Amino acid sequence: MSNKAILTKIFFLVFVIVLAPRGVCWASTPADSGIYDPGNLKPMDTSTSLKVGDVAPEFSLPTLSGGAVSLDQYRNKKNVVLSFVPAAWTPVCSQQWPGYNIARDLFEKLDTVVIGISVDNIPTLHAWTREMGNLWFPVASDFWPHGAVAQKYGILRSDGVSERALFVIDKKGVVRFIDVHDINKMPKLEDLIKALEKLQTN
Amino acid sequence: MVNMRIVGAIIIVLMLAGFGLCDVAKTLSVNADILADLKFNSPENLAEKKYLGLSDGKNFRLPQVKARLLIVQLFSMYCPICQRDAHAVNELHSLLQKVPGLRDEVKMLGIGVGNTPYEVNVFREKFKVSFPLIPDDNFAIQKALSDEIRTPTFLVVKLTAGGKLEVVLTKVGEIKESGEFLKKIAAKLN
Repeated sequence: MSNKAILTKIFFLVFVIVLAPRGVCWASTPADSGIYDPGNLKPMDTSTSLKVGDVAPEFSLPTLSGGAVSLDQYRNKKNVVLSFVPAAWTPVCSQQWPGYNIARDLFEKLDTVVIGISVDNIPTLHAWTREMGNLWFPVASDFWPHGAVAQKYGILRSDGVSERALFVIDKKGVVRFIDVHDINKMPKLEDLIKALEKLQTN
Repeated sequence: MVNMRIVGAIIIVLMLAGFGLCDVAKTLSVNADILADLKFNSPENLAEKKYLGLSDGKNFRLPQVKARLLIVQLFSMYCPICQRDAHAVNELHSLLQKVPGLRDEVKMLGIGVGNTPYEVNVFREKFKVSFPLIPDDNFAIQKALSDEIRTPTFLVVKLTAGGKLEVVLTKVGEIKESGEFLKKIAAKLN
């Protein structure tokens, strides 16, 4: 092998070795480790025709745990929060579900289950949610047909991800609260909890 | 023929440089004057107010805290690493309470970055946090920092007379080992 070839290989090796520690560096730091920052996005890109009082569109989606989740399985049993997040490994999304994770008691007290939905595929969601700790609620993949459920709810953006949206659906399957949120911002937890509390009083 | 010893040495030097870059990436610059001037909502809980040595009033500035050092934890209820680190942070506070020389000299304050009072309370109750936590829903603390806030971040602040403060230690990321972190903090008392 010529000196030039050896040096080329060495420089490639050095390049890899020098970059590797940076990976360790980021992985050991904060919550957004490994997070892709898409920058500031158009706050909303859709306008759902779904209204409070409408019957929630039915769906069945594969979940991380291997089965499927549908609205139907909670009919007459639990209120449901559908939490659509735009994409795995992006800044706000990577914290929204961990927030709901520690608020489990609040949701359970209000007889409510959360269903997390993203247009990502199952392997991506698996890797991503592992960084969040053990989520108590089902995480569903709306990957194929791509974004079909987001489309049904009128929140599939033109770039193929969903809006950051919350739908509260009561035990009868009726939509009782809609928050299609600015995609760049975190919805306030208390707004969602207040909407659920309203179900108890009605 | 290329001298493999020289190549090996170059690789080691570059590896170390790579690790050095990590440290640079974690370094956070804080504008002490801006930090000292930020107004926060006072804790509503009287015991927390008393712990910080704050008089009545809705707002306070960090230099008003009665301590020599203040450990400011920037956290978020939504941050999974803050959740994971909550035990170590609570332990740090317990350790401080157990050492008479440190109990009154070093105080702790958590600031929920981007969190509402409600969200801060969820975090407080979930992890049974026994030191004051206050909300910063408008990201006011960001004004004092050179880089985008990553949570958790710890700022150890020396409080000096005349309403001034000096940032003596910053740490981005979880503390993991409360005892080790406490040693670093205690060294800043001298």
